[in-house]
Amino acid sequence: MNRRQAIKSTALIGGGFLFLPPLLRGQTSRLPRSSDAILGATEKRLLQSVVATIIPATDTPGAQELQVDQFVLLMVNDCHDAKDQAAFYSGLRDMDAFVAQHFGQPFLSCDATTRVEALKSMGGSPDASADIKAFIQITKRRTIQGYLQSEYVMTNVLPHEMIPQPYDGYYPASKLGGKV
Amino acid sequence: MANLSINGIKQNTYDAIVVGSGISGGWAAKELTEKGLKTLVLERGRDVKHNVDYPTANKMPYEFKHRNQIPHETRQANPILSRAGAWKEDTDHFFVKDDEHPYIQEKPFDWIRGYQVGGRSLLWARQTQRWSQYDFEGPARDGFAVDWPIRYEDIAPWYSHVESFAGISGNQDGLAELPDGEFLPPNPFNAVEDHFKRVLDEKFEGRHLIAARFANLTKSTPTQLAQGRYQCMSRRLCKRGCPFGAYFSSNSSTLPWAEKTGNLTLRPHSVVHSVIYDDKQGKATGVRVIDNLTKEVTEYYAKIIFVNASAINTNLILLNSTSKRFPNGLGNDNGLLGKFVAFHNYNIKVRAQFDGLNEFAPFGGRPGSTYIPRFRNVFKQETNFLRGYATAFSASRNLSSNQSGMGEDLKESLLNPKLGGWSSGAQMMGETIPKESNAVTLDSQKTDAWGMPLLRINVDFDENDRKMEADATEQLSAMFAAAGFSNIKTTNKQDAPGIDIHEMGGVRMGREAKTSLLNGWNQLHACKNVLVTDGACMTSTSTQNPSLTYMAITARAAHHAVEEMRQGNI
Repeated sequence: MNRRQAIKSTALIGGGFLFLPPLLRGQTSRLPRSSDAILGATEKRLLQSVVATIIPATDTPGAQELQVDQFVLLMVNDCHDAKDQAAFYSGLRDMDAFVAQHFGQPFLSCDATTRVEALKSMGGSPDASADIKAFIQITKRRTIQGYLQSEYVMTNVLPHEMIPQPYDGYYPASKLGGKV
Repeated sequence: MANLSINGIKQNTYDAIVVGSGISGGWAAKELTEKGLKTLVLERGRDVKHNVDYPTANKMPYEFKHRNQIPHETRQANPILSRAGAWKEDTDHFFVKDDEHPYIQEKPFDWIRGYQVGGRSLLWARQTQRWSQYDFEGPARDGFAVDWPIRYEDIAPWYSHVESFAGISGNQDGLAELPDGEFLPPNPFNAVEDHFKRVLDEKFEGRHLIAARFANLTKSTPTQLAQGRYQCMSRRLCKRGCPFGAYFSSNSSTLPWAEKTGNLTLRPHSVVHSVIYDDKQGKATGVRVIDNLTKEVTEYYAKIIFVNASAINTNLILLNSTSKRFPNGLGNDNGLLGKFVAFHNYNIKVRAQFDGLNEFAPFGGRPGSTYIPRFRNVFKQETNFLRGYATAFSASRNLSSNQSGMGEDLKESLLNPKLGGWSSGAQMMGETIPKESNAVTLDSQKTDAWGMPLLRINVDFDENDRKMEADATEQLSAMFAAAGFSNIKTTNKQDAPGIDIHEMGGVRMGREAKTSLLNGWNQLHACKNVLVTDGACMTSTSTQNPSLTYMAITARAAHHAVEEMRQGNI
């Protein structure tokens, strides 16, 4: 078995029962939104670029090539509450001013290295607004999810095996790259 | 009501009617049809045919629009269902939405339902532990509820009967408190589970870690192959419906088996309004059905009627079955129908890490986990609370990636996940004490879309449960500490009752007609051709996942009812 198979199979292991997260009660209801109505062409390009910066193309496609920006918007619109949505859209609108102020030019004009620095800075800087931080946090989380759970990655990079290997509770950890 | 000609009556007459097609209704159908009875199974929801109606069974994760997450608005619209962890995009079609069947919560109660052929047997957790003599003797010994009219010896052969057919995995563990059965090979332990087992054996007398018995086919014997059911592939996607028929459900097992006899008629979309009682004949003659889609009312007739609508709906149907003889609900001479409802307490969870046995990792898949049978108050009363709790346990070690980076570093990390340390988790499964105040009643005015009275549910925890939670927190933590687990974290989920999805009682079995509804053969004391063998019949709850016991009780009752019918007694 190769390492990729091993990784995917082991991701399916574990105990037999679920630990369920405590469910939130009484959240505020969200407003229906359409990202087309909210986002202008520049903001759409900006989001694409942010997504591409989080997971860039290398010898394999990055998040933008896999249309993960569309997935991020879908999840924000359908699976987040109104508070998250407001923060996400407002953070997306505000981020360029932050970048211009701290990095001397708009995000889209920055080179790749500066874009990475800009995103790190927005995620952690005390100068960045709560909305910008929320935008970065939500976008990063959904980008990672959309990338790892894209058809491309699950087919070509880390193949998803619906049927795992037979269980071995004493598999050598060294074969999975674990400490011994 | 229906106005039928003689021919119409004949057409709508069967030997037996089974209300409900879930885990117990499916067993009633199998046993009755095998005995040659023309049997009508009524299901309030739509049909779900094995494999044909499992639309998500073979979908890859990326084929779910929201990657299996239920959208926010849908969750907001379903505050009750939202508490069910199994409700995701891949199982959405098997769960009842809150507004489809409203009920009144006098106290918070999360009633999770699956209205379709097969009911919740498609969705269950598949753990199948036998009850022991100490469980059946519990109420009499400890002075709560009423004495069970049966003992372990009465049901043991029926456990064997259903285990052999359904296919249950497990070890012969030799424990009096959790009897052995007819088992397929057990699910294997991993290194940390074996370690934990050794610690319990050495340091905690009477506490045992065993392979939980599961209704997944670790091997398919000729008995299951004859049902078209194959070995479990450990996909752990059971709740979508299994293409291999590798876990037991009515859909994969009992219903197709019943159909093969030629004696089964299955009528989906059939909401049962009430059981018809004939004052002159002094027995039940059939049921009134409201068509789910057309709302048309039809009557069906039979000599034997099994009410297996799931515990709370069985209570609803019987409470709604009023006649001159039974103005307060069928068989309800003593006013106890709907009372002494109980459930299981899953509130306490303990998690920890383990820095040891790092040379090993679990690899591959298995459908089961491990289990600690109840060790409190088993052989005698020894704590300041009654009864006790079983515990689900598992240890795991997962691959994960550091997600703190950005850009190429992040991508590199995501594509090269690292093996983390061991973690372990335990969850209590506590017995609750049935009380008269824990009850379901019918609202006198409000009705649902089919004109059925709305249920009022008034069920709560009590002081005994809180003491047991404290003990479980303390004892599970102590066992974890003794095993050298670190970073031990305990949680009290503080859930409302219901989310255990083990609601039981309301039509309890007992020895006396004065203090119970059903006799030792699950017949209503006062109307012997009506039988209840789903969760509603439970006199007490013990700690075991209840489905296996419903199956065994159902098979036993069905055989007896057929005998009684043939002898002209019912």
